Amino acid sequence: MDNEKNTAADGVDASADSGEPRRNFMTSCVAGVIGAVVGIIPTITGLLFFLDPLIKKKNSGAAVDGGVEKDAEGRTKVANIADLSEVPERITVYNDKEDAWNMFLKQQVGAIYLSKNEGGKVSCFNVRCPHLGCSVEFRESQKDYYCPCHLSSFALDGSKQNKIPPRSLDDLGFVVDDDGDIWVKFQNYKATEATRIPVG
Amino acid sequence: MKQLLAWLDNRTGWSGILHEALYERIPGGARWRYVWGSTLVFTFVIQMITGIFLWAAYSPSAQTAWESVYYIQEHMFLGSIVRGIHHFAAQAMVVLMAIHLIQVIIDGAYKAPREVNFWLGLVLMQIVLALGLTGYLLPWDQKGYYATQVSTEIMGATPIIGQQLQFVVQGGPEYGHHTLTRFFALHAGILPASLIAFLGLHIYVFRRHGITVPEPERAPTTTFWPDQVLKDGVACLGVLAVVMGLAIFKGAELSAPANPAEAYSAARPEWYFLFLFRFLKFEAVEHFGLAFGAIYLPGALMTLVAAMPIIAWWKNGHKFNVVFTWTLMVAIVVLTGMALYEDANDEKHQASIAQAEADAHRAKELAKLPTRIPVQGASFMLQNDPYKYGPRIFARQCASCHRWNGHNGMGQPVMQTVDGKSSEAPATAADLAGFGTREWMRRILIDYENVFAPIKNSRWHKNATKDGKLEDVFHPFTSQKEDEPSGMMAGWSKTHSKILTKPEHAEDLAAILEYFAAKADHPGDVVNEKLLKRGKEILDDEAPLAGNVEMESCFGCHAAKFIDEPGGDAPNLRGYGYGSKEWLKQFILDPSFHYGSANQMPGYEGKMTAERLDLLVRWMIGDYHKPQNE
Ligand code: FES
Repeated sequence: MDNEKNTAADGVDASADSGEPRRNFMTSCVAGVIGAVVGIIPTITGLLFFLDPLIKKKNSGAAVDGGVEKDAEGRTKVANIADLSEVPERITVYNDKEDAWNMFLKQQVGAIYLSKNEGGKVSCFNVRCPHLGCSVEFRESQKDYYCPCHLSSFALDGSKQNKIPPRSLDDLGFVVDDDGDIWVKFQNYKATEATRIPVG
Repeated sequence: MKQLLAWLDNRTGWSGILHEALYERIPGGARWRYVWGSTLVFTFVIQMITGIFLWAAYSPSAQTAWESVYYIQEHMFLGSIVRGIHHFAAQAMVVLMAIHLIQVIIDGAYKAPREVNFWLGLVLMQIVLALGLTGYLLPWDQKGYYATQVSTEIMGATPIIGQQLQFVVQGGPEYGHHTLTRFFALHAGILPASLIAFLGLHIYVFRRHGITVPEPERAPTTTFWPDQVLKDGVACLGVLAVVMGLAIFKGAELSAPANPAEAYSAARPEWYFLFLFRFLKFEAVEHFGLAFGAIYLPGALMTLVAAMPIIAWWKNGHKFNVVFTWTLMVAIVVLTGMALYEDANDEKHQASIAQAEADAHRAKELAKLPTRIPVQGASFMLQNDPYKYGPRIFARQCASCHRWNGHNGMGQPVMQTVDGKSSEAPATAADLAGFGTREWMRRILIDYENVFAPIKNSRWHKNATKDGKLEDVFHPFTSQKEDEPSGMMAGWSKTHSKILTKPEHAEDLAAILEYFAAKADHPGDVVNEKLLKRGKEILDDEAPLAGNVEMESCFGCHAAKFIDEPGGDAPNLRGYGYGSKEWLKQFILDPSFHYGSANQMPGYEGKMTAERLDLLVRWMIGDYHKPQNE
């Protein structure tokens, strides 16, 4: 009996000598193929559907009626240069956020540190720590940006001051318009990497 | 490898189970008539697969259900196919179930010793129908919303516990978030789990008694694998082909987002419940009450079906069962046919479906705009669409006097009944299509009397003419008296149409129209700056027309009145721009603000909410997203 089963399972035509009915090898093959096909088609279709997030969808980032004001590059206004000082100021960045079928207008999407040195040069950093994504804080006493999570520290120019973070703070591109308003292109970068890889 | 398998077999006995499963004896050979049970298991597996993937994208709440289904359908990769498979496989399951049941009864496969398995099958049938019913609501569209409401109302008609039952299922006295969360828990959790449990029992008991063979001597005995599997596989392939074909070429419908305030008279259950729906419509049935038609009678029929194995203990019992089954099937087919036929010939029903389809199309169109769907949901989005509601408000509030391109705003003629005979009613006020546009203004300037000619049909005008008192009422037509305000604009138009329509003044006319288009400031309208400049010269600075032709200024009459300065008989042209959104709103609320007593239109102050006024006016001036096909 056992032997019989195995040969049948291997697809070999088993003769009926043990009382089992005849089985045809071709029939087995065709039945197997059809069975596989009807199983695979819905599964693959569903799986591809599930992998939808891997298909790159570009979010135009363009301004939306009633949403945050933006320039052609998608920059948003964050502060006026006249209000900045050498002490970095933490500023919340607002943007419109598309989430599947919804568009959430004027959402808090992140925060930046803005400061202006004696020469009037503005620096702008994303508060996200490049180590593992906590938020850095400006420490008045040490004159540095400090991350309480795993103790990363960055100088005022953003450069890393110990071996913990993989790279310096992420500075963000901005322009200052005629009125002195600062327009920032807010962007998050992947943590843990030595180079900057934009996310989202 | 062989050793490993042997070891595993020793510990688990898998090969015995496999053997048991695959080499079941089939006396009389493999046959097509045995495939139905397998196709049912197969469709259920399809439902499990597609269902779980859809689950990963579906969001059950009143503001996200339609929206997430829309997103699956319109934005996600293969979304419409996956939803289509799920949608049509569900219906295939009901069809296959009916075939399976009939085949079991005809072949006598329900008789002793298989009574219990027959009952298990009936339980499975109820579960599958419940899956269909709960699934129908989940997209939260008009179709599912209203159809399911009928089902839950029927549930509420259950004696004694009706209301409690309904509240528990709905998650409250009314439909809302918890209706969806509960239906979803039933549809994706409780029901499939029960189905799996009962299916396991069903198959186990089936194997215990073996297959019912009507003609054992037909062919040599064979086994399930591979002969019957091949036939089953081909049948499944057929089912899959049909389902895929429907999913690709027909697609699952997503009707307009559910809105309890928006009547949907075309509410119908899924087609396989249509017979019950039609049955409930019989007057005789209605006479006995809802509980009778929807609960007692179907319950009695189901009990009779369940009693079949017992009935079959008697002589001729089987024959009775077969006849009963066929009678029931014929009745179901006839009732379904009646329902379909009646709906196909019911204009109101068709119109309702067409409206829901148009709304669905519109909702999808708006959802694709950069603003996407607002957080309040797609139904809210549609409720604030001037394109959808403006015409309806116009038809109800304005079309008793005005027209829009000759119709009531919704494309239908305005009817009246005179002496019992229905005819198209003549307009008694201006046709407002294109109000405030250049074309409108052109007609006002050079063809004033014709624009307002419908007023001659109005009762007040007819009465005044009959009584010879036309000179005592304000009217827009040329007056005999030189300085009577009523006819002054008509007079202006008559004299100036001769000037303004001359070819050499074409550009100046365009400039004047541009001036007023800029005043009306219709959204999306682009003003030609050069023409506007010239228009300002003519109207504001009273420059002569080309060839030094003088034009009588507009602001001789229309100038003095600013926005905070009501009264007078000529409309204010310098306050809110004539024809603009604000001007029109103010005018509709209080026509006398601009026209004094020189306008017979009633004011709508207090008769129309700000929201409705806004929808109406925005529609009139074209302030909405234009549909693609226009
Ligand atoms: S996340 Fe900032 S130090 Fe680790």
